[in-house]
Amino acid sequence: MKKQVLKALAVVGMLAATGLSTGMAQAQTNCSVWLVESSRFMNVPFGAFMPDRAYVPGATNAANSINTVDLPVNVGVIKCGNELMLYDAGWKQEEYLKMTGSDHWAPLPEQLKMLGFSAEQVTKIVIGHGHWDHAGQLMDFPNAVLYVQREELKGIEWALNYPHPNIMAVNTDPGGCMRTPACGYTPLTLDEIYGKVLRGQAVIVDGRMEILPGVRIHPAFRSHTEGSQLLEVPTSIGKLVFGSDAYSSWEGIRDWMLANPQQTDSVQQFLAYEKCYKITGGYHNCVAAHEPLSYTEGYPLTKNSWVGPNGSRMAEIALAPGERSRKP
Amino acid sequence: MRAAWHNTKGGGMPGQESHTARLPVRVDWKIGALAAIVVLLLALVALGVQREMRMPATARTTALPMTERGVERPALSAAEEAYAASLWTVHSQAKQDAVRMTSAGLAYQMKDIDTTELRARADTLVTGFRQAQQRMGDLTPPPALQPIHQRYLNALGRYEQAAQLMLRFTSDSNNAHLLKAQELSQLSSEDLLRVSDVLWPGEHKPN
Repeated sequence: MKKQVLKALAVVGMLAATGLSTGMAQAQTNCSVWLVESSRFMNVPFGAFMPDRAYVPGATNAANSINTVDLPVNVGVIKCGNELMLYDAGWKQEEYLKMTGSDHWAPLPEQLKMLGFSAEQVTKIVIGHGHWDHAGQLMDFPNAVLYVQREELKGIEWALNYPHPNIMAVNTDPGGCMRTPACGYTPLTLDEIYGKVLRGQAVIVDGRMEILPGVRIHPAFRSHTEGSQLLEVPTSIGKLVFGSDAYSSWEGIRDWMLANPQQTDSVQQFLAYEKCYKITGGYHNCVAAHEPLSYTEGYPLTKNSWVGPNGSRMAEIALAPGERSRKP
Repeated sequence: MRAAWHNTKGGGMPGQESHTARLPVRVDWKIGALAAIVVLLLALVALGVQREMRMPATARTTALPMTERGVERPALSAAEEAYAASLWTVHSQAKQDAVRMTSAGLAYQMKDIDTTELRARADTLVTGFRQAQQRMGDLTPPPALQPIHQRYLNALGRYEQAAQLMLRFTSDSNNAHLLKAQELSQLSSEDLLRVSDVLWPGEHKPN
């Protein structure tokens, strides 16, 4: 009798475990993901983006034979159940912020519209970091809650109060700031972040945080800025990790090369790369912000692409069960 | 001349004489018409250039195609360059103060600083923005840059108001002051970019 009860309990336990794991698996594979190109920085010297890929005239080495590259500014569009999220928010080209040398800028709301979404539907925006070209359209998403690392905001404070003008500088010369710690944060971008915080539409994150089942923020401090953060997203093709400028170049992650140095601590950037290898099991599912091969066969994750508003490109990366394709 | 031209044609067919004899007259008429068209085109170009020169720098830049904005921007004159260089020293500090003001607000919201510290910072910022406006009073902008000068001055005034509101919040804890201050600051930050676009294009790099 006892044996029969034990057997029955074991069977029930196994069934429960199976049900639980199935439920968990479903909870962790329910996100659809698209990538949109906010704009493209044209003709950037490859060496300025990736020092190891600097152009060497007459080089026989393929890695050093490309002079300039066009760098997309990629934004992740993530739909998990009824939640619509953005990873990064691009920048906003206005008559007063044209960014000479950039092309194909399109408003994110318009790009979302092409995917069948509205700006009002966006419930969360996770910014990989607070630089002007990644957190520049926050106010266009009135219902979105911003997720930003406390360390990111504290890092700006630290830089501004550093007792040496070359460290604390927001501007270095009329040619523009380059690599001082606070130089990528324009007053306008910070105003937008602050606006979200003041209106109770921001979550200031301390390190790691699960914001939806299976959707996790991972800190990647100093991998590009003081408080950079990654986003792990479960999909039908496995886990993806978005990295903003910590993952500026997908080839950089693949080949273990530094990219987009700016304020980057190279060791921390490599550790951020490693995080993607650990979470996804390789480099294929690491989502890069400025990879020149984006939207081509050269970056397979993003190859299912098409051209959107103003020549900007878009890609469908993964669809949750039952989610319809948004590709025209 | 007429004979020489005729001679080059050789004997020709009967009836051709009268036809060819009229040609020089027609050529003269064509040259005249062509000259008139050229003069008209030159006048149009001159008018266009003159109109372009009269336009303020901002209008000139926004009229350019998106991909070429800034590239084809007419160079600033020597006086304008000198003014831009002088304003840059004000701008460097003002931009830093603007970031400081927002950062102070964020630090307060994160409870990294208390009201006393916020008050001290806001107080310093009020003084800073006021001094920046005074420094601008010492600058004499070239006529074409007068609107730019005024825009920048207004932006500094709004930044000062924002710092004042932050200061007022430290007395009455009314959040409405902070919200209004943020709005004013954002307007000024947009104006800083507008001025920067004319005087220091390329100030912001891909990051």
